[in-house]
Amino acid sequence: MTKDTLVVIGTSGTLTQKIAARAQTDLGFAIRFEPLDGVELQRRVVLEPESFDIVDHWSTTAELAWFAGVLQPVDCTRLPAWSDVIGPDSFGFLELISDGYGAPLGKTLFVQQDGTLGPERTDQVVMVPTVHNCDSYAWTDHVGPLLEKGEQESWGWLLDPRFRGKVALSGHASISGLEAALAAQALGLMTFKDIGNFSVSEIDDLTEILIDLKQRGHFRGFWYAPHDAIKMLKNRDGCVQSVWAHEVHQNPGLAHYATPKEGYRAWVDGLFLSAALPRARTDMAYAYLNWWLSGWPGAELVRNGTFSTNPAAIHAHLGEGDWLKSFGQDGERYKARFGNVAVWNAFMDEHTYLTRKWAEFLSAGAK
Amino acid sequence: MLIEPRDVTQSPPGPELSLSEIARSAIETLSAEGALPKGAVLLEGPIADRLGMSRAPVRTALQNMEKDGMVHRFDGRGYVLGDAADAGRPVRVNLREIAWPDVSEHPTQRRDKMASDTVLDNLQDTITGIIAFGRFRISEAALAANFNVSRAVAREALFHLLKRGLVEKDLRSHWITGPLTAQATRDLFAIRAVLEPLALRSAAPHFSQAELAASRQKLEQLSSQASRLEARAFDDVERELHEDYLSKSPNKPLLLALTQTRLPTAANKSFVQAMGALDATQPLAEHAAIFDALVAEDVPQACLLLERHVLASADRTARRLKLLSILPYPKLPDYITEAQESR
Repeated sequence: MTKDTLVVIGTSGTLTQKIAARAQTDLGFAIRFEPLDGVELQRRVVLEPESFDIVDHWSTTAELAWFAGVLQPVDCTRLPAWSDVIGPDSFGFLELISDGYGAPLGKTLFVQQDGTLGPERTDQVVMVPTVHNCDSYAWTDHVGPLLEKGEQESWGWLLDPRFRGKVALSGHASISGLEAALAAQALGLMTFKDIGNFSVSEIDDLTEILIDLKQRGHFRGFWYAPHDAIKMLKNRDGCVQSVWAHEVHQNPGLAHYATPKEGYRAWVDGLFLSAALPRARTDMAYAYLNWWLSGWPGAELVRNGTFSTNPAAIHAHLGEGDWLKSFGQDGERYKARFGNVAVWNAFMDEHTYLTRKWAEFLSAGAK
Repeated sequence: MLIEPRDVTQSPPGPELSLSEIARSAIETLSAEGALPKGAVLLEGPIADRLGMSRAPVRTALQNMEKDGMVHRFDGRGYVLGDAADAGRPVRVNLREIAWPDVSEHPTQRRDKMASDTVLDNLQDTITGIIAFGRFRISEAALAANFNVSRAVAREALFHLLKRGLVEKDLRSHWITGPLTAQATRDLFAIRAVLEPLALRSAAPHFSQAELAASRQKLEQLSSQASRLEARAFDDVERELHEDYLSKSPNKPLLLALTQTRLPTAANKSFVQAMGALDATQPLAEHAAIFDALVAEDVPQACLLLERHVLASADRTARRLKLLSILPYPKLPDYITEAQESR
């Protein structure tokens, strides 16, 4: 075993002890996982690129960090499984992540000739996509009597006056903002020119709608940590509630997870390399990237309710039941899910403004 | 080089002397007295502290002295006093410990002017640093107290910044700054994309081949460090093209209109300050192409390239603005508080 340690920063979602232990055993070198909170992590990436080797985070963070000049491109020719990731055995992964509102990763995955990020295929990518998923909201049987017979699930439920006092949202502006926008649009309260990139006046209008509803007692509460979201569902605090899909997957029987007629809010996470990655650890870094495409870690995440890239490799590590439940026999479940995306998570141009207005909404009291 | 001493303590300079000229004359005095030897490393911060002024006038003084060949840059922070040969032999002098002239002993009128300049410079620096982060209220009374000046002096500084579009007055007549949105950034750059080529066309007859060649040469020298350009160098490059050259246009109303479109450069400044440096490969290449066209006396081409450059800058600035939003919230001075929305 070499003495050097590979430093990976990310969030607690993927930087688990189980994954760290397995990776160290498989790879034969020391790996230090440093799980951080989302914003704290983004700051670390942008301001201290010399303090880590690899980041495991959102595609939107990779895009920001690329612009800040703190990443180095990933050389796909050093990833033997790369052709599988973007090839036909991946059920159209690259095409599926290249379309839609918000920030579909496919549009900024490849490093172009001029050093910017774009969709034209090259041998260099900004990140190796790994975990990805489609999120919506959960609802419990307590709201059953309020539903019409055969009513189709819709994002509109989040802002529907029928569910006054029973709705809970995430407190995170960028994600919850997208969900609230999908809801407002579904109910016909307002329309967005680009629902993945709000304008200043759209943010103003949306906040006004939300504050008005809040003052009418529409929202039961707001959550920040996923385990709080689950707790709210268990306590019947949230009966129609925004929550990550994999959290509901891990708590079977707790709630129904919606397939909104408008489509899902989807996201892709992945691994990216610090511009300051020392030459001495470059081989280790690529070994770690390749390990993520090798099947076992992907299978682990699929069992936890998300998806990972390179399904062909994952299949061998997954029980047939889990495989069918997630991907379907020939990937049909996967294709149906990612073919129904309303918006991809995005870091909007007016992010600062949105965050500020969102804080106003969260702090708004009774009239 | 013989430097003519000017004793700012005993015989105050004429009424037109600016803060930066006072700073320059103080440096020249100490140099003539030998308190600052040739090769002395001059840094903005300590000099500004000892002269009781902000960094901006000291920076201007040093830049002017550099133009006149009295100080030189070297492979380190700050400038070196003396000629190019001295720059190779920097001497560290404790700038805080030498006997700087007491420039506060100036006539009252001068002191007021200085106070007002100090408030203005500091306020502008502060606002530039925070404007991208949200909406803030500036208290006139607290501003006056902070700088130990009258309310009138504080108000004057705020009105000055009002003209530059850095602050506004809300419905309740509070002084407000920010937020600088991506929308405002793109709107203002769209105006610049139209106005700057106009200014360039009218300014171009006043450029000399020698100065154009020197500017082009300077860009060439910077190109090796373009991927990690420091704040000061980036500032200089930007100011030279977009302010110094364009200011040679005789169309004064046009130049005045342009000063009101520079707000988004605040985002760039905050960005470079936070990051320490930025990748200026693209902007430097664009500047170089504009100077190439000017050197070739192809003014229409230079105007076209300038327009494209400004539009590309709009995009880059909007991205930098987005990046700023994840950076730590800046520390607010006592006279600035976060503003609630007036609804």
